[in-house]
Amino acid sequence: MSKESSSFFEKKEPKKLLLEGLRGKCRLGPPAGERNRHKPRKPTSKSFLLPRARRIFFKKEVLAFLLVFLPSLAFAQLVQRDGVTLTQAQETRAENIGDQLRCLVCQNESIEGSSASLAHQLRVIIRQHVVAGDSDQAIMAFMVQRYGIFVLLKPPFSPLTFLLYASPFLALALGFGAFFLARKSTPPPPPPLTESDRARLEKLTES
Amino acid sequence: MTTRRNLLYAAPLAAVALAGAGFYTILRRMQSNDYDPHALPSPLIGKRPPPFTLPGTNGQQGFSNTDLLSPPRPMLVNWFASWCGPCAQEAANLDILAQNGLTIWGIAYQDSPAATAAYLSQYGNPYTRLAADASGLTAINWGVYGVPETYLIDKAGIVRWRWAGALTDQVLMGTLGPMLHQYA
Amino acid sequence: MIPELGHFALALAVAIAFAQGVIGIFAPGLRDPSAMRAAPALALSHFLAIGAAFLALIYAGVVSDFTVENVADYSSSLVPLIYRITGTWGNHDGSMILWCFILSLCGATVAAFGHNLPASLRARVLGVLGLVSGGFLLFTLTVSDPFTRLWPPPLDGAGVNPILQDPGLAFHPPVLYTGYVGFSVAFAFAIAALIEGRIDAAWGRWVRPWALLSWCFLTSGIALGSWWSYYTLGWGGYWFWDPVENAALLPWLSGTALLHCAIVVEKREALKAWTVLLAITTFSFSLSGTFLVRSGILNSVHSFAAAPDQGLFILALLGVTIGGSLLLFAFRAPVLAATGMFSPLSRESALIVNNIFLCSIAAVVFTGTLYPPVADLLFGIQLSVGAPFFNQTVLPLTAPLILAMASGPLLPWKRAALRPALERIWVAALIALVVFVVMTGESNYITALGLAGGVWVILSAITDIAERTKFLRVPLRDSATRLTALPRAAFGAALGHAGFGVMVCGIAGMTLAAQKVIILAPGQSTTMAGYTWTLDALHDAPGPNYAARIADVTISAHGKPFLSLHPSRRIFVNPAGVTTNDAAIHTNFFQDIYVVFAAEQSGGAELRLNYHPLAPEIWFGGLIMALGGALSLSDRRLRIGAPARAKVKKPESLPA
Repeated sequence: MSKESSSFFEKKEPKKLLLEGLRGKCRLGPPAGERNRHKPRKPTSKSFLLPRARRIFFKKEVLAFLLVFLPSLAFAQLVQRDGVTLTQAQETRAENIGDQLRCLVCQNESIEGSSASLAHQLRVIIRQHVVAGDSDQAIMAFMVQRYGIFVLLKPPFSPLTFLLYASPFLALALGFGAFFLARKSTPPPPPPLTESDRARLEKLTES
Repeated sequence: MTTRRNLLYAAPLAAVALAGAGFYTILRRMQSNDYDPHALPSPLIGKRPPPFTLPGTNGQQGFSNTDLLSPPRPMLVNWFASWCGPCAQEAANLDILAQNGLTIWGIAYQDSPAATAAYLSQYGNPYTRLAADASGLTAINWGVYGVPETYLIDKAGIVRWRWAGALTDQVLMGTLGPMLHQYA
Repeated sequence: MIPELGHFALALAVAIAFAQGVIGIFAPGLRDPSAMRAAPALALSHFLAIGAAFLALIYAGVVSDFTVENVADYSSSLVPLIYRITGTWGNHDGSMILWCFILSLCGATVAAFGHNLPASLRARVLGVLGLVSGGFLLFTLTVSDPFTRLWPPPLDGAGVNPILQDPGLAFHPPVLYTGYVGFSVAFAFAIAALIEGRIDAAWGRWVRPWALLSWCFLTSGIALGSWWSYYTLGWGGYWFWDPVENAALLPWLSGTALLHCAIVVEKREALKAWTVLLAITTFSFSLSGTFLVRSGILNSVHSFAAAPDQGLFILALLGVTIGGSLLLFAFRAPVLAATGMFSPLSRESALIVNNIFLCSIAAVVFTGTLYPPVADLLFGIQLSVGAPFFNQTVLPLTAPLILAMASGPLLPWKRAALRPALERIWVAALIALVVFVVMTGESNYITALGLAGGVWVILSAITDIAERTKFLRVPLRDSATRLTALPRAAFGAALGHAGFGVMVCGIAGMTLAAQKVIILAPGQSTTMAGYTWTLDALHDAPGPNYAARIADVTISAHGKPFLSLHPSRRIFVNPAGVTTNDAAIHTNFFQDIYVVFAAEQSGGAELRLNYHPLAPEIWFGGLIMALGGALSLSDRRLRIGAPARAKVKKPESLPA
């Protein structure tokens, strides 16, 4: 199941645990009071708590938590972005799609990070399509149909972009190849001493 | 093998020479305006405009894609807005084109009717038909990413050319003129 | 009057630079000692001339002399003093003057501190620097002259771009340019060595401080730029794979490879041709970066106004410099005899593997950045290569790099045996593995990989020091003695690697960043990352050349507010209508809380809330790397240089 099932407020649930962990280790952020058992905790299997505590939680606190918060579940799961209401998971999906599309009126930004009005409109359209249930490929195809492959921040893999995608492998092959070639060929013997060099040698060995 | 070693040492020079030749060509093309790194080719070229219907504005008749299926002569569809500076710059050239018999249909992009009317009374109205795309959604379907943009539609209803930016004299003489001859 | 003097000084600098170039290159061939001594003198006067021009331009900006076209276009009287000064290099023409100034500074520094260099080598190095400077000065004087006049002068200037009205502008370009241009010295040394036909350990000893100094500045410059865009642009991003950012990364990658190669030349007399090639390549990347940014070929937020004519001039400069140096390399490099041999498992090999990976990353970044114009040229298609591509190709290449980096310092020179090498690494590797397993459980495996890699590099740097002090193998007091006796370069290297590890940890932490875009009315709150974020109020505040709207945001944990932030939006008067977002950032050095006031709608504010774990580590890592480099530079051995025969004072030599 997606990450949004146990998170009602944040973008990614596992992140929060890392943050809590960091905070706990470094004594930063909210004081230990947050660990108070009476504060409703999100039910999760990836908890720092001991199994025994988890079982106690499950019996009393989660029930109370569900009773209090179940009605607000419907509202809490929804977020609003650019005037479109959608669930957190849909918002995450829309943001991932938006990160791969170029803002056409900006210079080298994605439509997620841009404040241009065209970017805003495209974000709205993406979210409407996501809510309607279109797949990622369909939404990307929608954009490419209208703006060409220029709108994709990562060009599609085709014979024309083969060199681009092969560049890491080619570079490594060239590098290691040059290394082995250079090692195999013996260096040329040093050239014989010239007159001036011979004179210098004599002077140095004399003194 | 000294030859192999020498080839190895000369390889960077060869690569750089190739790159230099490439850059030189790119720069020359930029100078002659054959290449603009900021320009976008329109995927509509070679195809018919997408399905749409837009209401008229300023007391004029709007149009839909069915009206563009087979124009009697090659025509222009010009996207503009009253809040757009370069649109005002190209208005004079559009007036000249219209006076010389070229059919131009206009679409006001994300504009209020009052603002459009004021703009047209100030800069002239070269449009035989004038539609309004208040939401901007039709523009997205066309692949319009800014104003002004001008599309040339030939007698078969196919988009043959798209220019993003103001129609300057250079563009008129150098590009639009030959295009009109070609698709006359 | 002053701008005229500056203009004259610029022209004078062109003449002196070319004189320096010609005399410096040909004097050693003529074996004329007085001509060879002329080169440092010319370098110093060249520095004074361009310095005078630079000061004249700054003066014109400070007094707001709008008869100077550059000042009228890019400054105004409403701008605070600091930005009238630093705005000098906020545009194309002024930044070229800064570039030339730093280039001349490099030459002057070689002239002033290069006493221990043989006269012929020093003359040739200064000669090459003079020719390069002359070329760029000629470009500045003819095509991008900042001293052109405007008559009649406008009542007020057009103003400094609001995004540039920030302390970052004062530091980022000068530091970055010093890094770029500083590699010209290593380049000059490489050309001089090719002309002379000889590279030895002494050459390696002389080149290393210059390469290290430039590398420190370039590292700091890139870190500063990344930090500046992080807190100024307001999207919480710190690296966008923008073409100009890539143009700065390329010389850094090859410069790091150069640095490591120079060590091998100095200690082992091997890899000579590689070092020379890397020195040429690094400076070539710096020059290409200038070219790409100023020619208009690339689509970038940073690029100056597109000017294909200027691009052609710079291309010609590049052709002469890079083409000429590589031609010299093709002919003369075979003469550089390699004398050092080493086995496949040794520190030399690890350094080579490290360099291959660094250069591969550089090749990928280069290809990706230039693919759009080349694809248009060859295939006639327009495509974009942006952040998703670079992230997916570069990050997998850094994994083997980290492997090589962590194990390299623990291998001995020339020939290493596998078992002792493994014995040294196992502790660090084990801890890294534990970190990986734990973090995979808590987050995802990519973040875990990043954190484990960063931790491993830091631990291997500590292990390196521990190995050198024979920690836990000899009594502690002996270890302490060894520690104090260690040369600073050893600490510098360990610190440099540790800094990279810290940066990698920071980047890994940022992959777990939380972000939320929300519209709040005053009094409303929302939650994210375990905190409650409340918008208290919106109010106005005036500024020198802008009007600001400020949002007061309080962040609470468990009902107790602990932080108050005030992001603002500035609406500028001059230039009119431009709005910037001033992000409010709170850092406790292990995480950042970041709020941006994006827009105001119907009485409420659209806020972007960000939570960035480990973000400050990215820039601390860069800082630590630069500090490591500086520490290495302060090593006594590098300043003394190669030993010279002691001058024995004989009584007979006193004047009679």
